[in-house]
Amino acid sequence: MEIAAYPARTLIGVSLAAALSLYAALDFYGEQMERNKVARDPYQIANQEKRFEPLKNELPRGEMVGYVSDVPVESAIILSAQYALAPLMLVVSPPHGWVIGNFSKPLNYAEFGSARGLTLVKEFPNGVVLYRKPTQ
Amino acid sequence: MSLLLAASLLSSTLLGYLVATLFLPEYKPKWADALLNISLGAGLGVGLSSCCYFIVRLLAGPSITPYLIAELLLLIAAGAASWLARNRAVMSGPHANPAGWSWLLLVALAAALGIAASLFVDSSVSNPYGGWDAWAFWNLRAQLMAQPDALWRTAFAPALNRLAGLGATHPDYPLLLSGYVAGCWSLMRSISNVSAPIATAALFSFGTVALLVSALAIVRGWSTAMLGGLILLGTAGFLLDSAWQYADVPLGFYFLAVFVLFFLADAETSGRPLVLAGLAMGFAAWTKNEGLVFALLAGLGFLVYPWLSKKTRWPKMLALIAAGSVVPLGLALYFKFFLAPPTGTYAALTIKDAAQRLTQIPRYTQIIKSFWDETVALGSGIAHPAISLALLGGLLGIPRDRRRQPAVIVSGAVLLGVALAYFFTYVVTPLDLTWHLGTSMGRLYMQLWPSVVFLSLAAFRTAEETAIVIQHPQKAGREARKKTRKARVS
Repeated sequence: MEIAAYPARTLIGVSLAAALSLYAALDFYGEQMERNKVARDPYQIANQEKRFEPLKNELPRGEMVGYVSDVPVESAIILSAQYALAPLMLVVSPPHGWVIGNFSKPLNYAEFGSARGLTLVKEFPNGVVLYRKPTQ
Repeated sequence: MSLLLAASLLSSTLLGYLVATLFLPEYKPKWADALLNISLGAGLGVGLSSCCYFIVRLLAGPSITPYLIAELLLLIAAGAASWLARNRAVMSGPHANPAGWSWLLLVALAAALGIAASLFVDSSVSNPYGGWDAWAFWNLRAQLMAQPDALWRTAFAPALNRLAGLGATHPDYPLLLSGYVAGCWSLMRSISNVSAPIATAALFSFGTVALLVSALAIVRGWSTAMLGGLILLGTAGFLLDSAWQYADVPLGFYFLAVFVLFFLADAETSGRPLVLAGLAMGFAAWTKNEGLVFALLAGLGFLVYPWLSKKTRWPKMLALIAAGSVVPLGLALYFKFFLAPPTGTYAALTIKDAAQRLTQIPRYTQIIKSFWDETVALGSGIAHPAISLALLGGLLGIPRDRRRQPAVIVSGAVLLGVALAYFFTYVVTPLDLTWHLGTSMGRLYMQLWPSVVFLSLAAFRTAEETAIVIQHPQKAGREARKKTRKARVS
């Protein structure tokens, strides 16, 4: 019968490495669970999908559309709208003149559009508006 | 819906499993062999399915039927090949079953795995669309790619370069991850269903842990395998990135797979695992641009290795690697040169600008400081994976013969080369360096970290190697008497 005896340094090394790793996992678990409670869908993608769904059904799939908003241009807002609107593509110069309005608060959307040379086509709930830009 | 997703995941995993068993011998113990084939199969299967999905779309159009037929044919072919021509060699490695106190390591690993799984579920429930890059790039392109008509090509359309006048959403990035998620969505007929990218992220995250544990069990034995899994699961960055649905954890999986398969090929004579190493290398290139850099450096490593190890059959070795990598690597290069729009962060970089940045010392110090900060963030004070590795390295040491082992030297050099390539990419970056470091270094770290853990532990002396084996006097006497009695009877 063979018995393996391990040197103390081996036992210390293995025990410490295992204990430290387990503690690190547990510690991070606590931290991240707290963060998860606070930051639920921080970019509101689920909400954007709901907001844009009715408009998405009105336009031909894959249409290139323009974008206007009452809030300054910000990557998070435009990219989350793009994710929700795909396969529609948000571009600077839409070939067929469709422009999507993405608003943070109720306002006179027709006036907002006409100030930018856009004609209001349809208002959807939650600050989503479809405009048309006359094609030259 | 969830049945169709399960069918999609099972189909790719089975495909990868059959391919893995075709080229790998049977390893002892059986648990490590099964875990290796399943984890390797899960990752390789994703790569195979993703390539199949993209090639079928290119050649036969975006209908789901040709893709399903192609995947089914691939499954039948892999099954038949595995049945008829599988590697039937049996390889016995070091002692890879628990004995005595080492059972405790399994308990610790199971606890860490439970923590990681629970965290993954909570993170995915609270943030089902993943991190920024997941919904802004990877899954957006998956949505476009899954379109059932010609629109699928918008996944790499130049319009993605300037969405609504903003910066690029990287239509030039390779499509392994987006393609696989798109394939799941096509099969589910539910584009943008969050369960597919979440399941894919889980597959790669836990597949990486399983691959690390099983490979270390085969190469170095029980305690090293358990410690490898524990150290990876004790890495904050890995736990965090796992649920983000980014391409960095999958890329880390393929890097690890290449090193693991390289070690396995080094330990046997047929060279067949090198086909899988080539396949994983190609999938790395089809996952992210960094994978192309890795493929180049790993390719160089494979060229140097036969010379360093004085192997005479190097043309066969290189042919096996090339056979594995030709399709995915070729697809990645074809996509890069003929389909992807000419864009990318470094497209506008001139030699003059690069040379100027190379001479700016503050850039180097800023990168080193950021590297240090990211290293510190991997753990929690002293409970840090790098400290765990350093402890094991210091207390167990590296055996002299292993320090000279060509597989260890070449793998370490390739990994170091990739890290240096990342470093100098930051030095010459045309982007704001602070922003570039802040948004990417942690992720690049996670691409390399599983391989760092594997290569470090594969180099260190194992706990079992330090053991002094003694004969128990009483029991040894009893055994001897039994043997004598048996001999008399016979």
